Amino acid sequence: MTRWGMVIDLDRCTGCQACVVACKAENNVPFSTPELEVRNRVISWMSVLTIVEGEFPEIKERFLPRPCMHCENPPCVKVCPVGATYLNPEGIVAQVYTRCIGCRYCTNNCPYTLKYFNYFKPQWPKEMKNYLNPDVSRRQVGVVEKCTFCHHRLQKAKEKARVEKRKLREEDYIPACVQTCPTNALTFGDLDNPRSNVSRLAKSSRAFRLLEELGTEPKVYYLTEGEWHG
Amino acid sequence: MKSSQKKKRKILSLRVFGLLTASLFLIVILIVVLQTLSGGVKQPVAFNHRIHAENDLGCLDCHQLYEEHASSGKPSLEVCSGCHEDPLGESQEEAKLREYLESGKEVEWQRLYRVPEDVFFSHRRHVVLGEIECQTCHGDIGESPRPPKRPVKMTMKKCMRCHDERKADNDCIACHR
Repeated sequence: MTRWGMVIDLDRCTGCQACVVACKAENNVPFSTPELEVRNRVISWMSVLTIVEGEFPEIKERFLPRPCMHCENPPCVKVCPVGATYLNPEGIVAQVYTRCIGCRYCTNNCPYTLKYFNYFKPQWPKEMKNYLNPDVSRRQVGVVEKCTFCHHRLQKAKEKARVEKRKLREEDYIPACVQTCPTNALTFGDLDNPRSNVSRLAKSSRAFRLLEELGTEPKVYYLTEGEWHG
Repeated sequence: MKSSQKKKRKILSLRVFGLLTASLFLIVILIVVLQTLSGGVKQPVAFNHRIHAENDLGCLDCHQLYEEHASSGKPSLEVCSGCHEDPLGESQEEAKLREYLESGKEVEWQRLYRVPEDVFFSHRRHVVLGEIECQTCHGDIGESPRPPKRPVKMTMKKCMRCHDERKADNDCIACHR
């Protein structure tokens, strides 16, 4: 069985935010604005956390890109009263927007705070009208949304593979953030396939997961920075 | 005396109630009839599916995209001109089409079916990979003499039942996006 997962090499991440932009463009996530930022209402399925250490000019910056962790034991799913969010057989924590009633239990129960509520009607500048991705729905106001590992790409890849009468290959399906990362800090693939890059990297001695002690079993692994980071 | 008055009042109230129900019923019927007569999708040319099917045209001859794309495609003027370059009959609707052909302006076929925004539906997936006949979802459109005003109702229940019968993926995000 396939179990999609991601490995993020923190040593390679330069904090360029290309993944953030790629995700927003791919998934029709509206722009963040200073006003939204002040009110803490920004939606960003992929967000890079910046940690500044030391005092200027002797500072060190560390970056932590955070997509949805796609937990094997997802706390958000446990509290959804309508089954709008669930763990699918391939390990993706899915969100069905039309089923969501906007109660925000899941947003509050996510220990990583990576689920986002649509407080406002999503809006784009007029010029952007034809730039939205037709493969992804625009979410309506009042529902929760989240990173889906770009599962619309999986839907298309599966169809393409069947038309070409072959099995789905791992490289047929990668999320937008992974595709765009200029330093290849993100790796995506099947964690259950022992020969895949992700499963190899996930077993590395540098690998760790966020808040592992909670027992959520995230499928996003991180590789720690080397000793030179201090 | 008192009891007969009570009886009268009772009969009166019953009559009023009956009258009200009857008028309400009539209004509802009127609304339904008006709705079916007016509204719906009106096509610029009253295309006759039956006559085309009788002349050995398949669905793919006019809706040319569904074997390779998600959508089935509206027929372009070029497709029509393949047969209607010269008049084939004496129908009024063909005369309308001839006007379009002579002016070179595309016929503005109106969309009948709309997939909800949050649903990923691919004709290729269903027709080519699933080997489903067009009629399974679209009904006997090939036998209709005039364009339908309303689409055949499709519900998620129907989709899921069919997916279940054919052992297709019934996971939410196999279709919802």
